[in-house]
Amino acid sequence: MWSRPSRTLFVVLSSVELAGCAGAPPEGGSASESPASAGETAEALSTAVVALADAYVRDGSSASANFGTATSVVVKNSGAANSGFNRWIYLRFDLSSISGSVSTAKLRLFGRVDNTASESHATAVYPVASTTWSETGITGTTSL
Amino acid sequence: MTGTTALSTTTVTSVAAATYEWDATAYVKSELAAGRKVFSLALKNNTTSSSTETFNSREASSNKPTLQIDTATTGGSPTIGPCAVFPSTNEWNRNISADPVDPNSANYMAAMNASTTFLHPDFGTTFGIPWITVPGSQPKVPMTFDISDESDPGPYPFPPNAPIEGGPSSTGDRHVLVLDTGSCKLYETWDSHFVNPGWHCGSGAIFNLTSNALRPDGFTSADAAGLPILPGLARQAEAAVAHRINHALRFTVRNTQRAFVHPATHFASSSTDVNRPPMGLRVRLKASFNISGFNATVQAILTGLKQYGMFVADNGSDWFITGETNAQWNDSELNQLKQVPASAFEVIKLGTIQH
Repeated sequence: MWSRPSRTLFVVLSSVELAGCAGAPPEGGSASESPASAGETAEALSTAVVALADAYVRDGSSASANFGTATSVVVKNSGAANSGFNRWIYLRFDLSSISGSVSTAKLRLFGRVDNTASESHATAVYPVASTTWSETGITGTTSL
Repeated sequence: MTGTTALSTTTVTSVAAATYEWDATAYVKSELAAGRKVFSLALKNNTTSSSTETFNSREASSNKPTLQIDTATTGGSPTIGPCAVFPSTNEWNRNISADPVDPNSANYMAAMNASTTFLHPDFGTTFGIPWITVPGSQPKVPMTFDISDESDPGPYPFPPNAPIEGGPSSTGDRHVLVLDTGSCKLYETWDSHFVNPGWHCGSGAIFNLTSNALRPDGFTSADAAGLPILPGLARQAEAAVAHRINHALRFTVRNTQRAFVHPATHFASSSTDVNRPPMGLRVRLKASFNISGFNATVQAILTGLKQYGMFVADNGSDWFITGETNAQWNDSELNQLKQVPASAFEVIKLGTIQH
């Protein structure tokens, strides 16, 4: 059932014509993905996002020092009886490059407890509200 | 301020240095859901000891701190605002990378001049097809159509200043695409003219984005194939921001056949040459085509073309891919598409050809 001729014009686009056909830019939603619905096979894609910034800070006599450019980050719980030797770590990540529905997110750090004798530490990760701290400025005094 | 409730706790030991993992899934998901893509974490030791724990920082040469993100790469529908663009089971959203090649692929490719043609992005910062979303409260206005017997009757929620393809004085196709995000219904017209208080158009079609229903066989839409247009546009937020396209695109060829295959429902040709592509013919970029030399935006488009392909949706210049008008496109990036030969594509097995 042929009801009418083809409609798309055979236009050779030139800069002159382009200048004259500036369409209004679209408003509207940005695209995103919704999670796979039940019964579909979801194929996992794994991406390692390196920290955008990381620093450890100290209390006690080093509370005003910044360690943001060190090649290590350090934690220590010196305890109430021996306070002033604590260290803790801040990390910042930017997930702008991630698309798709996130199924898991895991922080990975490579290191150990610095002791030749056997020792185990319960080490915990916490959320931090600030996303604007400076890697080369943060200290135990200005910590978050 | 650092939260007082740990997201997770992991035991770090003094044996040889190793990779330790802390689960942050729930927190990361909630941050992303709130639109925050940058966020901070703190690590503290809960075991009192005179020993430190030392980890490589990002300034170390290897084994830097990372957030390991797993994402689902298939499944689901593309979305625009609150609306899924057709169910995940819709043809537009079907991954066709494993479909068989059509036995007549070589002849179709020859009729589409594939050996001498390259892809062409028919969209960018100043050209392409504009579209808008309107809320469910957008007033609906009366519509008149030249082809009223194949058009869905008004009223349509078209604002008086709805963008017209090619601009207000265009003598081209003058498409208007409006997505009502209240009802998730898509309203599309061709040859659109604002005639206060409504619009006069060549034809118009309404698509319920929650349904897989096709238009009646033989019915046109705002394109010559009876297909919706917006679901098949290359969109900047997908290609250039998310770098992922999970739906088929649409393209034009010069010579089509007097025939269509679903999901197309209409043809616009008098030629009965069986080697010419019917409307709705779908091609995909061959899996073997090397995309590593292209920029990320073009790679996203080409990956989409490998996984979801593109439909012949209108008569036009050979191998012109349609996309949205968007000032955020980078035209010089898109120009890399012109380095992709049409011969790198193949026709996937067609459904029943209808005349």
